[in-house]
Amino acid sequence: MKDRRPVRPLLLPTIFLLLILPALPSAVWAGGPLVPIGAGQFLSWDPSQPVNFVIDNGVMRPGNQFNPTISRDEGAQFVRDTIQRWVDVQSATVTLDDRGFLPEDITAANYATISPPNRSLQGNPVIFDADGSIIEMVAGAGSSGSVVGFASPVIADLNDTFYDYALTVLNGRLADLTPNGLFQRTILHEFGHFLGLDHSQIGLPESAPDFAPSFCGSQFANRDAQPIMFPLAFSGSIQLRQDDVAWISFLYPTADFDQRFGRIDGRVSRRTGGPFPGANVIAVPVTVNEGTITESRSGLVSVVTDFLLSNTGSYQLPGLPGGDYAVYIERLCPDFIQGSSVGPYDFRFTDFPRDYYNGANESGDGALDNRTEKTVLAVRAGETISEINLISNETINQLETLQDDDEEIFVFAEGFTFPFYGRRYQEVVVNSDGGLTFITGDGFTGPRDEMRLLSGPPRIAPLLTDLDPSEAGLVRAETSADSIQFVWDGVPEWSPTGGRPPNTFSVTLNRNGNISFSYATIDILPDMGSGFGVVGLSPGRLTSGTSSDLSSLQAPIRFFDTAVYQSFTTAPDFDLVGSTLQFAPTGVNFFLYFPLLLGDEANFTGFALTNDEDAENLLQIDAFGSDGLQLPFPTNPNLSRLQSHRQLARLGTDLFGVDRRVMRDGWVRIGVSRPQVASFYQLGNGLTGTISQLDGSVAFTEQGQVLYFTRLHDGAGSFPALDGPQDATTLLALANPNEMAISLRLRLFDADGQELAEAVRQLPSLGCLREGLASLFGQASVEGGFVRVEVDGPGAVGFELVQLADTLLGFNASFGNASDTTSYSAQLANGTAGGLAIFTSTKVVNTSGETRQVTLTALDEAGQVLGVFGPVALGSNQSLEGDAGTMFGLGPASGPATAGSLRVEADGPGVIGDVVFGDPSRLRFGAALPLQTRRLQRAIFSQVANAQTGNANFSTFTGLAFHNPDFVLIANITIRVFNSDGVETGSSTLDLGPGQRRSFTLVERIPATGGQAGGYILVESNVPVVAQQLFGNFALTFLSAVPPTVFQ
Amino acid sequence: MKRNAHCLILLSSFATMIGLLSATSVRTVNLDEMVGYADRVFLGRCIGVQEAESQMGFPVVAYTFEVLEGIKGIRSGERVQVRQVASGKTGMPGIPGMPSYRQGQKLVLFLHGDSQLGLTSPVGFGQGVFELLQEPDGLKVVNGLGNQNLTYNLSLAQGRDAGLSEAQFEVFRKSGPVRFDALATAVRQIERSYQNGRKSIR
Repeated sequence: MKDRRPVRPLLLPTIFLLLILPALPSAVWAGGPLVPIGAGQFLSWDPSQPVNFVIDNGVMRPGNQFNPTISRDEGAQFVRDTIQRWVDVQSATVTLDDRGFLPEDITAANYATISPPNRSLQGNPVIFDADGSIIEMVAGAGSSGSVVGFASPVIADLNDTFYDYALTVLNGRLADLTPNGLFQRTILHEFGHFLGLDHSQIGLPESAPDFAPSFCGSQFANRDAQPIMFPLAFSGSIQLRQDDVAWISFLYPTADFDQRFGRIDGRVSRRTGGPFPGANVIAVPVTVNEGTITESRSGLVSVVTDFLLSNTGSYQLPGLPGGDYAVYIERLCPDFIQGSSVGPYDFRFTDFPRDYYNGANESGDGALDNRTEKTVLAVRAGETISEINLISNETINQLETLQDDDEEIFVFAEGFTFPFYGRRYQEVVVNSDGGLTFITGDGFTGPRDEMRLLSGPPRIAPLLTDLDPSEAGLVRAETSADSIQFVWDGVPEWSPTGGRPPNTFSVTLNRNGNISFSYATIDILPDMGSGFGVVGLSPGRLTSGTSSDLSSLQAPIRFFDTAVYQSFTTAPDFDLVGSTLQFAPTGVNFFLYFPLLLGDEANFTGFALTNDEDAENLLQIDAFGSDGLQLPFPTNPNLSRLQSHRQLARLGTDLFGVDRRVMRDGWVRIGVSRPQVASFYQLGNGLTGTISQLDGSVAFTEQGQVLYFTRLHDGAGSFPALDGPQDATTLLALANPNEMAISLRLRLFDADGQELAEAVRQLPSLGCLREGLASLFGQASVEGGFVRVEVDGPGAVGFELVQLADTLLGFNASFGNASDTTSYSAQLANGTAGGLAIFTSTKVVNTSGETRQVTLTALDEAGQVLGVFGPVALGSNQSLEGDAGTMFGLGPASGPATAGSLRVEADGPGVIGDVVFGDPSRLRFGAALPLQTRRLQRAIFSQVANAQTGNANFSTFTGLAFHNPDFVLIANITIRVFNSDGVETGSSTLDLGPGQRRSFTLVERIPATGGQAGGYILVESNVPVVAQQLFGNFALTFLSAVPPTVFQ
Repeated sequence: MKRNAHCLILLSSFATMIGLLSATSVRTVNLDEMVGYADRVFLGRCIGVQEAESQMGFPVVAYTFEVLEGIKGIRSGERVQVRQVASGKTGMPGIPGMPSYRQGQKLVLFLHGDSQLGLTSPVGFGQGVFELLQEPDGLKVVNGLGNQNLTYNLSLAQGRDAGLSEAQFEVFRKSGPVRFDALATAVRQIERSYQNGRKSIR
């Protein structure tokens, strides 16, 4: 079994929850050629180990007057011979470890001894349910008359991608040793599942005249091509087909698999450009003779797009013997869902014809793309032909062509977008059955009920019921500058005999997100045993909801993150005829901006929020990419609620439902319905080991038109340290929170105030930039100075990351300190204590247009002056950077330890700066904070991490530092700690005299918080003070400093 | 076009079909067999869905049905609890392909008798679960195979033995949705033939 990932103690416990519960499989039993669990991963047996099996020690079938006995050995040999076909695949490493026989005959009486969780100690059992009693036990009396058998591989460890136990039950009552018989095909098919394969669809006709679309079991099927893993079984040869060979080899490849075969890769898009998950892609061998392309009846290989849940429409067709191929897409059989599913998408778009890849002529427009035109691909062993991209041929906006159970994409007019449950759409799918859906259509036969409304795609349903515009009436759209109205005009309910009365109703989408339904005439019957119809809105992919009496709700009916609907169970209940329903989204009017979202398999961005309001807060959490579009993550935006005085802490992967192996690169905006929300975010590594890099800040709540990045180290040896200059890079991250594009002028100044270089960048609306200094300014090395960013537009937000080999220093951009003349740091440490050395580097920048006289004063814990540096004259754009030990005469970092605070005074506004502190040798740990000008009387630190374990790497501390800058007053400070549910876990008071400073770990001050993981700290003071929070582990592989969110 | 209502696949295509395969393989069963294997047949409404205590390592779901019309082995108006092994999800214990039901759903179910563990399942899995279609000419029902299995491997003569008239047989042979009352009548006739001494397939 794969090594288990150690369960780490938690620095940010709720953030790290994902590490313990990753990738819970979500697909039902189904999924193309294999079982995906997201982000390119799938379940299989450990390829480095043989898959063992152990056979029942009883007869396969007892004899009776009609059938002779099938002995244990006959049955076992039949099973071995059958499953050997998977082993015999030369390009797959499937090996079986035949462990002989179980010690006893397994029957219903002793079955529990080998079933999960008891398991068979001997291996994965293959049970001969000789009399069918086991099947009858679990599936009911009489079930052995129809259930032939089942295989059920399971994983015991959800961290794992390997199966670790499987159970196969074969029903002796239906056993039949006829070669190539259905029983043998069943065994081979079930062992395909046992090994991790799932169904494939190959060999179906494009349609079967008069029988379409139920072409799944058609007599016109090409049985020569249909693989063993086809969802229906027919008698005939049970030889593995190329598709079976390709995919078992994909799961368990030999070292030379990629050399023996070729591969075709590509993507499939919808006509409108979006990814197309759930299309069947087939490579068919062809021969070309004098321009005529002839398809082979065998050797086909297929896959379902996005079979690895990549959400890109991608596919790959491995295991192709060298030769010429054509590639086409086709719809999946609508009957192949649930237990017989092909691919992981039971809801899939199907309204497109079979369409061959034809190179540059590919188009989604059937008028431009001859879908039968084939581009022949010459596949060679050992080579991959990439970028074979197809576009499904679809009509758009032709609502008059809607048939029964049909759907049609409707692309909005240029410039019109419609916001719905946090996402903004440029198109909608109009479904015959009385509604609109987003992302994917819904034109299929099935219950038009509450569950369909809840669990399907995002939906606006003026009347979800079985309507048939092909019989009479029309679905049409009427557009204006600010709205679009879709009208079902005289459309009757479907009926096999026709003649149902017309129904007329409409839905109007307004540009501002408001929606209205109007009903003129309605006359329909209950639909498919599931009621009369459903009216309402749903964000989709829900598992539950509550039906409401919509006509009794106050208009407009508000919606945010849950479905709002009414399920009408009987016709007399339908009380909407002649009325209009108005819906309006509940807005999030206040925004928090996090300028950088980063992440990959090892690195994360985590977010924490505390709702300081006395009421629930609605949250809309969006992640945007550099182009300003919402990143294609499953739960982006994340719509949720945060109860009063509770805290939420999540990894970005968790918030957006994305696997950690999927790259995250963008920025995050969190909209809240009430403004009093504290925030916190951290970037770091540690998803695959001990955290060695971590730092962060709080969110911006406003934008700046001029931003400053004060700490610059970029290039080889650009960061000074006792062990010698360290290599460093500095990344600048900027985000544009506006509805309009902005232009950025970035200017690099050296310490003397000389402008060295300039860069200009454009940021689209909601777009972002992440770029290193070298790329921006073309400088081989930068050490010191600062970057000024001038925004042409309403503003921007920014964050900088200085990355060293073992440390990450990160803090928010400054807006320039337009009014204050004094700034502070509650943390100033220098020297060695207990064998631990620490340094502090201070940096000040004069951003004003005039020379400033700047004085830096180091104070001890009692508020006594330790040293003064200055006054020094800093010209406009000049900066000063130095080691505190040297500047204030505190001695080297190897000397006696000093701790205190820093005060920076200037004779006018515009002086900003930062402090960096940490390990002086090579910055094994370190943290950075901007100098603080905003003093607090009420503030929140939005995370607590006091994990206690026996391992110093995973035991963490939370520290606080306070400084009272007042020259007269004593600060009475109250520190209250709460868990994430808002329950107070401890408190303390602290009196700080004028100029005094204190720092401590939270546990030291409030022992009850020992072990607390999650929650927040509320700080209140009668006198404005300066404070900061520090996180680290006891091994000090990292340190992170974060300012508070100041409310007063 | 209606998927279930129009799926008139030629019977010849089913001559060698074993039924839908998933990680559970189920053979095709005709109406005569379905009645024979079923302990209870009823039109019911699902009024409750609950997780129940697992059995033999399998997760179990308990569904409560209100019987709207009892057809075999159960009376109208009764409430019945249907306990089934959960449908297995990827990599999770269960029996893949086991049908499941939603609260509020109205269905016709052909259920096996409860096992000693109190577990059951629909006969032929999806073949024993019929959804309802309210149509102008009455309530119709259709199962997971579009009713294509109802006369599978069943000759007219065998149908007669089971108590079906030629007209009834023809209705089922066409496959596609059938009137609920036609199905209920046929089930009662077939069951009567068993009670009258015809050899049970079980």
